[in-house]
Amino acid sequence: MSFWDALLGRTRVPPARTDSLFDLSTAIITLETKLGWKPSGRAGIVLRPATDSLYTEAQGETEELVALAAQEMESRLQTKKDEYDYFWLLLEDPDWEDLVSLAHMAGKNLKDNGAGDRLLAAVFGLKKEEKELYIIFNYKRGRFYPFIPLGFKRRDNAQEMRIVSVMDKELPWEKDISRWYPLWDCPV
Amino acid sequence: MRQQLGADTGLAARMFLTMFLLAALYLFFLTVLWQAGVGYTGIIFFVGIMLFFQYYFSDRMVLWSMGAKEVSPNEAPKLHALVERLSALADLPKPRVAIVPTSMPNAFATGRNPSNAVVAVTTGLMDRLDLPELEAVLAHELSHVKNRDMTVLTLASFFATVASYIVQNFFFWGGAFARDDDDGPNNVILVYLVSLVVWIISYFLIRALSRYREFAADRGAAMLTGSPSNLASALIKISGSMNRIPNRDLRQAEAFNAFFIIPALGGKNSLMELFSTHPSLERRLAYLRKLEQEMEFRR
Repeated sequence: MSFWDALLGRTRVPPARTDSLFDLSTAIITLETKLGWKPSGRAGIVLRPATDSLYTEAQGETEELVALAAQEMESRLQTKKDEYDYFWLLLEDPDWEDLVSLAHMAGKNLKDNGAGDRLLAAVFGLKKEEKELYIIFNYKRGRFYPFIPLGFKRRDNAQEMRIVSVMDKELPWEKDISRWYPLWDCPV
Repeated sequence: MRQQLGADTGLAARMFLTMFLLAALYLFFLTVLWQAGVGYTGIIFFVGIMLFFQYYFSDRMVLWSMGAKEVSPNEAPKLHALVERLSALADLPKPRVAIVPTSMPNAFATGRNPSNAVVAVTTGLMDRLDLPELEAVLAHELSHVKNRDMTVLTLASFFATVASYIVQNFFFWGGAFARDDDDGPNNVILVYLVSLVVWIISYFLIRALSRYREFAADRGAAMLTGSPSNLASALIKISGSMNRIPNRDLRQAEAFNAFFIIPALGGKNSLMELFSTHPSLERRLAYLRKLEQEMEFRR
């Protein structure tokens, strides 16, 4: 935020960044071989819907586009509204690459339709034995962070840190751990 | 194509004009003090230190004076989740979250910068509002943090505070500030009168600036949540119950530059509004209606 923005009280919602998402398609190799996390076959993007009709149009159009692409890739698409009124596009596909490109397509399309400011995060599910790992992509920062929930409102910080240290060079990680916001009861 | 809500040029222009007038007034005030002699540097220094402490420790002072209690994500999971999501949307560091145990519905934000900010809501607010309305109120407070309103208004009120000190302590000190000066008592009277005028004019300018910052924060809330109407319905709900409840202990907090969602003292008519830190409910609702239209018809 610039000096003039602060002086004149001009709030700006930063634009969404979508391109780093593709870094995930190679990162999965280390996640699987070195760390033992297998894709759960589920991913999703979450956003805060606006009330204006142009937004509704953009969301509808993106849903259609992703649904068409999903059909082609034989993936499943679902939508959901969570308890905070945030909107989820949920994807199911055994192929990791497909999930990444579908999630990217959804975010990119919303952004191209001028709804990039609404994007909160893209979430990719992985699992190891009983545990779930979510790789969360913050659209406003263009960075990733891990989230491993453990029962009620607890998370496995040690494992999360380990993933980031081992894969330091492979993904643009969020360095500020106070921004590793959890998504409890994540529908992905 | 849809376009994001942008800045309000008219509002920014009015803010700029207000700050320009304030700066001109302060320059005039400083010139007079300068002419009157060096006896006044002490008081400027004193006010500087006082305001700096108030500014630097504002987060802790407000928590303490308002009886707000910082809550952990386990104690208030929904509140934290809302704040986290809004902070992520706005690309702000997450402020600390606090709850004030009072039935009066209100919310405020303070702190010297976004990394040291606190957002607080009262239990009365959480009881009365549903989740999207609570989200809108939090977005309004986060916009205050993002726009750095604490810093802007502390700086804007610096020389006004100096002037008010000179006026208020005049009879007590008997103009002792300029004792070293040989120009005689005329100078002291002149400084007193100029300080009085500066104090009065700056009072109204700062109030105007504060009201513009409220509009800007309402706009910011609309940008963050994408739905101005949620804030509108929250404001209606809060103000409906605000006027019936006495609010003495909130007044003392005004000194800390806390940014309430609704002022503790409600102005009823347009003359009263000049004295108010917040625009009237009618004006804010009209502004939110305008935002809703702007979002709908921008292309």
